[in-house]
Amino acid sequence: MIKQWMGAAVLALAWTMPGVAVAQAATEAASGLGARLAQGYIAPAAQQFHEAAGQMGKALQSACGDPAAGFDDVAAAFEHLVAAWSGIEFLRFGPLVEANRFESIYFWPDPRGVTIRQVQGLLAKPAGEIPDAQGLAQHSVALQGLPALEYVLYRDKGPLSGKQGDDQAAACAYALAVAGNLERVGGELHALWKADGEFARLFSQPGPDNPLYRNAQEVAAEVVKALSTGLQFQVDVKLAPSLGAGAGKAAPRKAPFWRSDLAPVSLQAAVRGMLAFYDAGGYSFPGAEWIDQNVRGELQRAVDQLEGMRGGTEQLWRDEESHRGLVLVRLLLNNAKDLVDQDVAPALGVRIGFNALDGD
Amino acid sequence: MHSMGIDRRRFLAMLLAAGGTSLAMPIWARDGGAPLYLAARKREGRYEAAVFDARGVDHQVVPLPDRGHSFAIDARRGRAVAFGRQPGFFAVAFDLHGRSEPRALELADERHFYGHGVYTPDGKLLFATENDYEAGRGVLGIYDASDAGGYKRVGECPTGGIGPHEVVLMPDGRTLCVANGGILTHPDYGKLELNLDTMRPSLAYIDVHSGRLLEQVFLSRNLHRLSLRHMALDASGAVWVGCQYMGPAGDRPALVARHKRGEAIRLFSGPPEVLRDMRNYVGSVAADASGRIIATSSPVGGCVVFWDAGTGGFLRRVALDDGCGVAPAVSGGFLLSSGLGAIAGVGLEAFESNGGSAAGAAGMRFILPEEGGRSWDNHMRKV
Repeated sequence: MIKQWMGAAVLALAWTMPGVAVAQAATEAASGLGARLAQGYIAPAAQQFHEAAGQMGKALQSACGDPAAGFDDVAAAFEHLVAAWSGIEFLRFGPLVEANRFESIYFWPDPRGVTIRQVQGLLAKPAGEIPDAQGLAQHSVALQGLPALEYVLYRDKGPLSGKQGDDQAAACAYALAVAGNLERVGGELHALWKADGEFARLFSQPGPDNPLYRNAQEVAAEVVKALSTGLQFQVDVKLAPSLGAGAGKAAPRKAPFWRSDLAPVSLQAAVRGMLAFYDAGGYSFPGAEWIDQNVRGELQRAVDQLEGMRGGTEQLWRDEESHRGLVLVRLLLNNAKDLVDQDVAPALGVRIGFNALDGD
Repeated sequence: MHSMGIDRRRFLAMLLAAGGTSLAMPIWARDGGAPLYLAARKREGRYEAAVFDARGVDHQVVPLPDRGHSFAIDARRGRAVAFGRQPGFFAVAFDLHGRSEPRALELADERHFYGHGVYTPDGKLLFATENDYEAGRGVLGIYDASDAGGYKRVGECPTGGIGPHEVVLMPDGRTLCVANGGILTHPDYGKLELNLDTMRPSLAYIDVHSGRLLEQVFLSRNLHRLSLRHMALDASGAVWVGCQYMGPAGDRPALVARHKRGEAIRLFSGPPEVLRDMRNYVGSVAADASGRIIATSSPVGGCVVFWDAGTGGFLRRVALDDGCGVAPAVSGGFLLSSGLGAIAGVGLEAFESNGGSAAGAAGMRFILPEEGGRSWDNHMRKV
């Protein structure tokens, strides 16, 4: 059985256990952490997503304006956008959970097929009735984000299928609206995280009057939770259900972005992002440098393992050798999560509780 | 059975190999210790349900195939059912005195347990909150708990919502109250929330005999992400609910609610600093023996907060790291348990002094200390 989803939170504890030296080291490690992460990783990554969504819109505009020129640039822009999103997907706190932003960008997994049902309903309308980006923001989140955009572009007879569908005008109008919506949400994320952004300030300046983070340990707890749940999301949601018990039992259509064959891109960009996020923390573990080496090592090995994996998701997931490679990625990421939970967390003064860890 | 469900045969074999239940020591060998409490726990890497007394001494231990959650208890007949933590693919019925072998309940296809259930007062039926996960709707599974029934699943009824978590039997003995948490999940993805944008939690009152929905109450629209989850009844028969907020951490909605039939749900927030410390999360709710004090635990915030059931006023808070289990103590006050292995008592005297909102362990005494190899799960139930 897969692990329980880690839904709740970790505890930032006043460090009372192993002695003053450790307490001091933990406090020093956590001090300034929010600022380092916001400026060193989060704000630039949010900006990249914002820009990638803008490029997506431009590529769609030119391809839809001149279909004879082909949709290659659209495919490249979509890949770039998926990678940029995957680099911030694990930052599931603050701006990304406010105003339904996560779901607006990435309503997935969707085991009941809500996105497809709703997109099909929308495309059945005349092109003139397709909402623009602003109007789309008032619709269901399932219609607003990347899974919807992937479906409209890569479905049978979609613009990127190589076959001309009879709803091309509606598809173009809708894809443009989604790209515009993603650009808007990306802009909001960047604005909240940039140096003088509202959330960046909260995250960077913990203190007694800060409504969210009263001390450095509470920031550290948020960071540990983001890394830990981000790794768990890769393992339990993006990999385990699709990998199944073996290549013969794989379910590639449960993989993320299987239609566009971007599942390995999504995984690799996410792990790269978490590695860069970890790097930006600038941690040092005096006397326990192995923690740092092992966390980096496991994440880098996962990135390397995913490097060569390109091609059809169906084929990659069903082929014995590449399936083994993906199982290895899952193991590496699981190890990285255990390191974060058991070694990085306590070094930052964060304790993960049995019940607090896994809300119910 | 779902692919991730445990193999029932394997589980039954495991139960037998473990000798069914194991008595930690004969009941008659102890003084003063009736088997009063039930809780699921992890101990030295193994999952189990423990029957223990007010001193924390085990009377019986039932092995579980995975992490357990809560129990249905039939005190009159000395039996209980332990449910798996959601998505739970097992439930085990056992005798509180170890007089018979435990028995695994059969789970219907495309259903999993949420971790809670109740017996009817006559002991003939058992109701369990379950997820019809392909359809994305909550149901109460109905089991024949009569002597000859063998806990056969005899039917189900809808709970009127998504994600039914705890179910309690109302004082009339014929009405069930279900907290529909509102969160859509699918076991392929564990507990990952799949509908945060459209959550709509509710309390549903259901007739035991007909399965008919008698009354359903919702929170206001702006609180649609406030998941109603755990419940206890006070002396007046009102339902107290502990909530978990699935929105941004910066929002601080009240987390404790009271409902009386025919009225709207009332929310109680307590002092702002206490609300903040609860970290948008209540893990368990219990009333004391008098039904006049309500305990709500927050393992995320590392505290247990007590409320006046009559007025909804805040009484006091005690700090307990990863504290979650709360149950009434026989002598008054409460017993608390934690994921770090502790069991603690809070006596009535704690409520007589002016507790204020200061955190601390004043009025709390440890019965079992924190212990590395032992983690108590969310709930502790008094038999």
